Amino acid sequence: MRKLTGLLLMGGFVLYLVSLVPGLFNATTPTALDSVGAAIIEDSRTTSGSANVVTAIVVQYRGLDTLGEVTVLFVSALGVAILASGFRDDVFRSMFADDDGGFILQYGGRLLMPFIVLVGVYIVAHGHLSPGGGFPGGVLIATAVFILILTGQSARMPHRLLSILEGAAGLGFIGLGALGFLGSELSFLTNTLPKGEYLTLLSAGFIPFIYAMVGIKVASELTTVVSVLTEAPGHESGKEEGRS
Amino acid sequence: MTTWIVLAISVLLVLMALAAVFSRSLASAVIILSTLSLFAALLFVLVAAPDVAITEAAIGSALTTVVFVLALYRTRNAACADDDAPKNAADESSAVTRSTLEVPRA
Repeated sequence: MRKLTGLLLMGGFVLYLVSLVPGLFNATTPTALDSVGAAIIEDSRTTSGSANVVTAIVVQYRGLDTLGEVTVLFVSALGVAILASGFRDDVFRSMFADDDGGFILQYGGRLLMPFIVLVGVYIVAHGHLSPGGGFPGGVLIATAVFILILTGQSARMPHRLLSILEGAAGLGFIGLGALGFLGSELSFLTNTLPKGEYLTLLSAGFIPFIYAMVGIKVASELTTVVSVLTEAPGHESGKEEGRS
Repeated sequence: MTTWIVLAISVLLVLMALAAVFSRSLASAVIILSTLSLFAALLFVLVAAPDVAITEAAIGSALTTVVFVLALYRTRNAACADDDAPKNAADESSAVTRSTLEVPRA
């Protein structure tokens, strides 16, 4: 019965996906945007100065929602950290610390890791110009750190530094949003910084700065999640045994 | 042409989701879901949503897989509060997890 239900659900999902294909079921697929989308695309160049309209929507038009998303991510990272560390605040060694993982992982990881960080920083910094932004860029940086953990290069994570970075980035987000009170509109998360020249790196007012804050916050939170999951409390802490 | 590629990827996604649902071990389900995310990212590129595609590729196929595999690995070692409790899904996946992730030499 459960399998039948699952199959029915899956069939419905197939129909949903098939109906998304334009021109397959209905010949009159709308090609123009509806009222809200068209209005935002027309408005976003003057209001936000961001070339990527998706970024303009995420950071400016629904900036408060993004703040909420960041908060949700923070709460989930906090929960994982508390659960995985077993309510003990000693710092444990990574379970990959004694295992170098073999030649290919060791040197391939060391070779790839800076480039992955570079791509992550690029995606964060160019969020207002090209696809991407703070969330995927931060995830990429956290993934690069996980490669470092896998190769056993980082026996201990600087958790204090990570939490300071994370809190400072959150405060920076709120501070940049509070700059909106300086403008004439007197509202939170209003883009009051100078817009700069369209399609350059330092344009779009506070959007690149907020995305940098989101990138730092996401990267440090997810690095904490991944490293806490690899630091097993059952595993012997490196305090007693001499670390080589 | 793009229409048919999109259609083929959609069918592939559904097949992968079915495979993940009906797979016997949790570890292989996690890997199948990771592959599903990669193909979903390809689908998002084809339907002109590169922002979503980048996020899906980074979060869905990289980070979620890492967190799931680490969680499976950790729950295998966790001491059970109640040994009489019915065995959960982590037990049957443990053999696969053990062969996938080398136990670090202590």
